[in-house]
Amino acid sequence: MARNFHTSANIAYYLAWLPLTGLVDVLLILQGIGVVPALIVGFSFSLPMAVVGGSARYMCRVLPLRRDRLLQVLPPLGGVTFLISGTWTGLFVIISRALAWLPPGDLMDIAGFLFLVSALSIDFSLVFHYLMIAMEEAQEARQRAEEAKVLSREAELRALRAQLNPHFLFNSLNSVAALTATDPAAAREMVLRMSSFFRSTLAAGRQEVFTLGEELALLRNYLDIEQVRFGERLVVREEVDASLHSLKWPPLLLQPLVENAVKHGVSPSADPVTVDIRALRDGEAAVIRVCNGRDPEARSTGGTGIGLSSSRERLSRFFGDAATMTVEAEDRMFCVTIRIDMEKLK
Amino acid sequence: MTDQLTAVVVDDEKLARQYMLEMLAAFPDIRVVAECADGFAAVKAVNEHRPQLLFLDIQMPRLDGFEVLELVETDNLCMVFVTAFDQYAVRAFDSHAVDYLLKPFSKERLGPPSKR
Repeated sequence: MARNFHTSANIAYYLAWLPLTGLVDVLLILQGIGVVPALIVGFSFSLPMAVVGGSARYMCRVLPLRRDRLLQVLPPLGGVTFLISGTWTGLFVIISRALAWLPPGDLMDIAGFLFLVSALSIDFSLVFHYLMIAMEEAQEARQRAEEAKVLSREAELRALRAQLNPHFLFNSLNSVAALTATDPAAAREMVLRMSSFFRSTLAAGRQEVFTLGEELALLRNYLDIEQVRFGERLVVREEVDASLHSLKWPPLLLQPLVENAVKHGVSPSADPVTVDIRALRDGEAAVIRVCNGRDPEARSTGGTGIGLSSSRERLSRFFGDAATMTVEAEDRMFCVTIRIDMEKLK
Repeated sequence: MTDQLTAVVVDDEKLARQYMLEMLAAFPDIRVVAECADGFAAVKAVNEHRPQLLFLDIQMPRLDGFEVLELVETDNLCMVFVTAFDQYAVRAFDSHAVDYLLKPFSKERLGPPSKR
C-alpha cells in the first residue's frame, strides 16, 4: 500500500517535470535558438534537474516543515536552491558552449533565465515533496488509527469470549454450588474471584494502555479460580522479573495460552500438572513463557492451533518484528515462548 | 432397604462429586456405592458394583464418559450424563442416556430421572 503510493508519487513527480521542460524549450526558442537545438538543450538541462530535484524528498525529510520552525528551515532551503541552480547553470552553460549547443555570443541572458527556471523548479520540487510527505503522513496516521481500532475491538471481543467461555463459567459456578453447603466462606471467595476476573477481562478490552503486570494479575486471578476446581491437580508456578511489569502489553494475549495449558494439560490428566508462567529478562530481551506438563497417556484434547496462530498474529501486530513466538510440543511438556527484543522497541 | 437403587458417581472434579452426593442425599431411595475421579476407575466400579444408576461426567482424564459406556455392560444401567457442555446432548441420548444434566443443576432437575 505505502509502496504503491510511493511509486505513483514518483510518476506524478516526473510527469510534472514534462511541462517544465516544455517551458524551457519555448523560452529558448523565443531567445532565437532553433527548434531542434532548443528541444535538445531544454531536455538535457531539465532532466538532470529532475533527478536532482527528486532528491528534494530527502531534504524535506531532514527539514520537516513546521510553522514554529520556519525560520530554521527556510534559509537552508533557499541556500541549497541557490547553490544547486547556480552550479548546474554554470556547468551547463560551459558544457553546452564546449559542445556548441548554444550560439556564440553573450550568454548572460540565457544563463540568467536557466538559473531562474532551475531555481523555480527546485522550489517546485520542494513544495511537491512537502505535499507528498504530508499526504503520506496523513495516510499513515489514518491507517494506524484504523489498525488501533481493530486491535481494541478484537481485544474487547476476546474479553467477551473469555467471559462467556461456557466451560470455564459453568464449571466454576458448579464449584460455587458445591461450596455453598460445605464451605460458605470459600464459596464467597470464589464468587469474588470470578467477579474480579470477569471485570478485569472486560476492562482490559477498553483500556488505552495495558501492561504485562496487569495481564499477570489477571492470570493469577484466573488460575486461583481454576485452583478451586482442580485442587491439588493444578500446581501453579510463577517467576516474574518485577521490572517487566510496566512493559506495554496487548490485553489478554497470555490468557488463552494459560487457559489452553489448563484445558490440555491439567484437565485430561489424573495426576498433578504444573502450569509454569515466567516473565524474565535475558540480556536486552524479555522472555515470557507459558508451560504446562502433559500426561503422555492422556488422549489428545484436540487443539486446533487456531488459538495459537491468532495469538501470534496479535503479538506481531503489537510488537512488529521485535517479538517472536515459539512453540515446543513434547510428550510431557508444552511450552509457548514469547521473546521481545527491548532494544527494537525504543 | 432392599428396594434402594445403587448409584455410581463419576466426575474428575472433587467439588462436582461432592455437589452430586449432596443432591443425591435428598433421595433416600438412592444409595451411592462408589465415586470415581476418572474413566478407568468408573469402568472398574461399574463392573464391580453393577449399579442401577450411573452419573457420568464427559470430559475426564484417561477415558471420557462415552468411552466408559463402551467398556461396561449397559443393559440394566440407567445412565445420566452430567456436564457443563450442551453440545454432547445428542450423542448422549444416542448412547441411551436417560437424562442429560447441565452443571450446575438443581435438586428438582435431578429428581425425575432417578425415579425412572
